[in-house]
Amino acid sequence: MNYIGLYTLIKKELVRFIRVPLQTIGSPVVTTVLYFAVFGASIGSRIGPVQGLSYTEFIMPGLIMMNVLMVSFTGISSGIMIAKMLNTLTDILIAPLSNLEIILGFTVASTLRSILTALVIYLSALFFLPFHIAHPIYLITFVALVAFVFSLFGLIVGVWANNFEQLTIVPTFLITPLTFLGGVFYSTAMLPPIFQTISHFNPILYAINGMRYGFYGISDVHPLSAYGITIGLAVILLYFTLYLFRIGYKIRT
Amino acid sequence: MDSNILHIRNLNKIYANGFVALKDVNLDIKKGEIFGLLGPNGAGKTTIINIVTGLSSKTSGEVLVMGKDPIKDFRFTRAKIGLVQQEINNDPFMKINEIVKIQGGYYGLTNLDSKVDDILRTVQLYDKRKSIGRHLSGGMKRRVMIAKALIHDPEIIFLDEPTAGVDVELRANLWEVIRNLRERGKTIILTTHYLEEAEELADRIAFINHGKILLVEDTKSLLARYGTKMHDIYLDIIQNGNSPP
Repeated sequence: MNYIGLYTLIKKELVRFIRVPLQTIGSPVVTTVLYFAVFGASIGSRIGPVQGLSYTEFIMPGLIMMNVLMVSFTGISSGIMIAKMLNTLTDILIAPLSNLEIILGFTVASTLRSILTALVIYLSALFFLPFHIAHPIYLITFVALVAFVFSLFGLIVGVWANNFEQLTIVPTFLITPLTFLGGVFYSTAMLPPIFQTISHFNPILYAINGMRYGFYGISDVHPLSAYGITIGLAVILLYFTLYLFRIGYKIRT
Repeated sequence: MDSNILHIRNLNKIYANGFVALKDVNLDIKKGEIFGLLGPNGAGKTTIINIVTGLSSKTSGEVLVMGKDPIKDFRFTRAKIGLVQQEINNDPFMKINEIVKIQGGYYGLTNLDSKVDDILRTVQLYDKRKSIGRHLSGGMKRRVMIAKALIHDPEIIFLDEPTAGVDVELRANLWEVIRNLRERGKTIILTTHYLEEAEELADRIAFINHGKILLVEDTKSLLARYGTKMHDIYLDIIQNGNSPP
């Protein structure tokens, strides 16, 4: 294992993120605080409590998870796309780094970026909400796992995409709709039974509810099933990404 | 180990779209020589380099770098090879000493600060070490690429058109750098469109066209045999399609 090579790649990817804090941290924080202010503090007071929580409290985990999904997906997919366009990816491909080390370099950095973003958003949320974390170990490991899954997903799409327009297909037409339908703003218990059933085929429902369990100990799905599904997805996507790198799909000719 | 640092036998490459890039290429590069690989665009020069460096896969044939396979023993072979690509590929947002240091990190190296400074002095970029990649001139960007390729002290250095777009003074400096590398026992494989560059630098020369090696010969004996300039020999073999005598 080339640990120094791996560490160098992770560090380089983190520096790239930290150098543009307004874009990488500032933007999600402002957007999320606006959600808290508009949906939580103003409209939320008329909605009343959901599952024993104030509406602002109820939507907070989902809003943070929404950012975790987006930061992990878009950061890595655009990073790979830029590296392909600038041809800087070849500097990594000719170095004595294994496919696994390259994949981990990009995805671990992306996971750390997501955790950092989640932390900053949570700290901002504390202006609106009291501090409350029911299951801290579950919460942090679950966020890391979900971020890792979406980083792998972003890596695959970044490798596949030929241009920036193709990159936006997944966040715009898949992640955003599934996030809004995944229970950020409501509990599935509020839905008619048929939609409750359909919702359970949406993987982001598990991500959002796992997060809510971590914060408050409540969830529309079993917390262990959310954890298990996320681990399962991580293993499948990691093997698939390794396969793509082994055959050199779109990165080695 | 024999004196051939790079051994290529019956190397074939057919791309996914069916394009035949290399046909039965055989090459033996000796340790410590400057080897010129000459041919028109699309002849297969870069494909050979890509297969040896791991950027492309071969369709069939054998490649050995210091006796090792570049796929099975990739950690060994990649650590021994430095590559200066044809296209500029520096990160435009980083300082150049950071760019070179990071490249060394990928090779598992630490405590690189003084080594980075030394290499930047060698390629006459020390004064610009804190400059951002995109603020450099074309020739400087190319020298950053050379610094990146040398940071891990490789034994074999591929220079894929290293002096394209470089002014006369700088070209002389790069020739000096290349000759110094040979004096230190390094092996250099050079592709270039400047035939006088090959004539000036290369110990041996190969002509390649349409994926086939047409000739491999000692530069001096080739020039003596033809009794003319490299330019005329190139035109005769590559453009007129004449077989070498």
